Amino acid sequence: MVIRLSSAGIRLAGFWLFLGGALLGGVFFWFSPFMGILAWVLAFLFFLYCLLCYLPGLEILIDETELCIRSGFVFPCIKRIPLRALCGVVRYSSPLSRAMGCQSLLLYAGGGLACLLPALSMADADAITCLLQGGQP
Amino acid sequence: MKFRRFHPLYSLHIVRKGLALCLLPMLRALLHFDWASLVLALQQDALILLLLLAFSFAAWQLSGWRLEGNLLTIQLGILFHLRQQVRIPELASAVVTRPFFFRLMGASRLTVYTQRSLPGSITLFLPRRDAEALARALMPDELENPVFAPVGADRLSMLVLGFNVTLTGLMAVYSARKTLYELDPFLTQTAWQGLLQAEALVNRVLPAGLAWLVTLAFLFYVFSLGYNFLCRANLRVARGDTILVARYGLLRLTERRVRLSAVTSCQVRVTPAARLLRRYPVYLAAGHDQGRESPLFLCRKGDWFSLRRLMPGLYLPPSRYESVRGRSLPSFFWFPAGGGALCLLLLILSRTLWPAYTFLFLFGLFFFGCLGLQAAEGYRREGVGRIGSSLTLCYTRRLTRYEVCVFTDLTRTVFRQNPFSKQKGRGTFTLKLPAARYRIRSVSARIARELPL
Repeated sequence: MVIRLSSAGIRLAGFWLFLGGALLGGVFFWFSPFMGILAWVLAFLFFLYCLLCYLPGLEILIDETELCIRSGFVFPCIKRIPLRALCGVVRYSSPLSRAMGCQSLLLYAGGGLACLLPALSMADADAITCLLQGGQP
Repeated sequence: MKFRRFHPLYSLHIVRKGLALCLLPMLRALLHFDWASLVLALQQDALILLLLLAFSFAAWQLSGWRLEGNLLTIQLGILFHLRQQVRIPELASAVVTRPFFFRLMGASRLTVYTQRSLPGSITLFLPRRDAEALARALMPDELENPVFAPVGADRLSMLVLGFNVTLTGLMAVYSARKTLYELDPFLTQTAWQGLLQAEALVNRVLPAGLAWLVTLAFLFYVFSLGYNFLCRANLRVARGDTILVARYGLLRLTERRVRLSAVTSCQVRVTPAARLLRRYPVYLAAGHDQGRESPLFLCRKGDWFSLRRLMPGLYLPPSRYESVRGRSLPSFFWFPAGGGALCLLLLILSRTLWPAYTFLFLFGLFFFGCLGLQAAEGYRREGVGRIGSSLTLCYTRRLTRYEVCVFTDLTRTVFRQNPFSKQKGRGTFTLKLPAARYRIRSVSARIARELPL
């Protein structure tokens, strides 16, 4: 089973990234206007990278034994988690994400938080939760 | 079992946490810097101490523990009660520590570590007999015959090896802080008075400062060596069917009980001292107990059978996992090469400009040379793979090679690449266990994708 972020999920994650980048960049205006503008430009470039490369390329693969998350284009990253190691799932949604039909999943393994699956569609979140509980999506 | 209170030392533990509050009135007195402010600050400190004592007494009265069947319950707090419950089969290890001060008060500190549930560890302050009884109830044993008891040279080498990691880190931090402290005013003056004056000041002060620094470092080393000797001497390890018990220490007594089914990894550290003595310290991690405090065994080179007697199913990494073709040189050699080049440059300059410091830069060059040799070994040997049913890995950090055998199946992996390593089909591989993580550089992408977990 392969899951990718829906367009609503990408928009939602992009919104939070944009907001976070704008606020964080704004802090640098306290040092100097030049630093602030530079921070905003860098934050905007990071936002574009996430929106155009990272979020659309995020893949969640689940088979009988393990969950694999592939992400990143310039800096690829592969996370592998055996299903037997997972011991908890937290489903998180905000009013905005509910309005856009999205949910985030926090997966816990032995020892703490294993990974965050951001802004999945409700159907995908249901399917993953069901699979992790040993059922069929 | 009925509800039992902690040892009264628990209240002192709470007071100690709140002692920082006493600094606030003193800070105010320092700002005003007069007699009246000092008296007022002392009165406020006395009041804070009284409140802290009252709070800690109430906390001690209302806190405690209970053991019912397979369930250990710990209750903390006064108004807001925190109740923690841990199932005994979920426990990975129990460590009873009795520092010298605790022994005078008849108390013990019992720390229990869980296998996978959070919080990873819970610390209890108990009367000595309660601590011993609870540790036995949590991890019952019927064994007393020591399997491994280093004597003579073995014991000495065990101690030296145990200190090596801790002391090196502490001395490095201490030296760095001391050097920065000494240099800071001169660096500030540099900005105002120019480079020449700063050079003159440094030339005048640095030799004496360095001498004091080295003296202090050696003094610190001797004290640490003595203290660690008293804390880690007299090691005895015994193994039963289900648990492993290690007892050590003269000044601070420690008893560590580890559930064998909860052991997550076994780590052999090949340090420079271990290479010289041909005896390698072995550390066991179980659940959230990383076991870094003290090695549990000391293994002679090539004598892995004695280690297998204690840990059946143990495999150590092979001499080479994969071909070094395409492996990233910068990820292994950037630090020794950069530091060595800098030292070499300074050494050449010092021959004419600062002849008094030539030896210092020579020492630096030797140190980075050693790091380079270790990096070369890591370049050849680092890797991860399965041998039999065990997952093994080898990695190097600074002057130490770590050989790890993983027993648990609660592993997860992260494989990261950058544009350069992506071209070569390699990347940094991180193996995460419940309370530990191991990072291996420049691993083949194929191995990272296909390694059975």
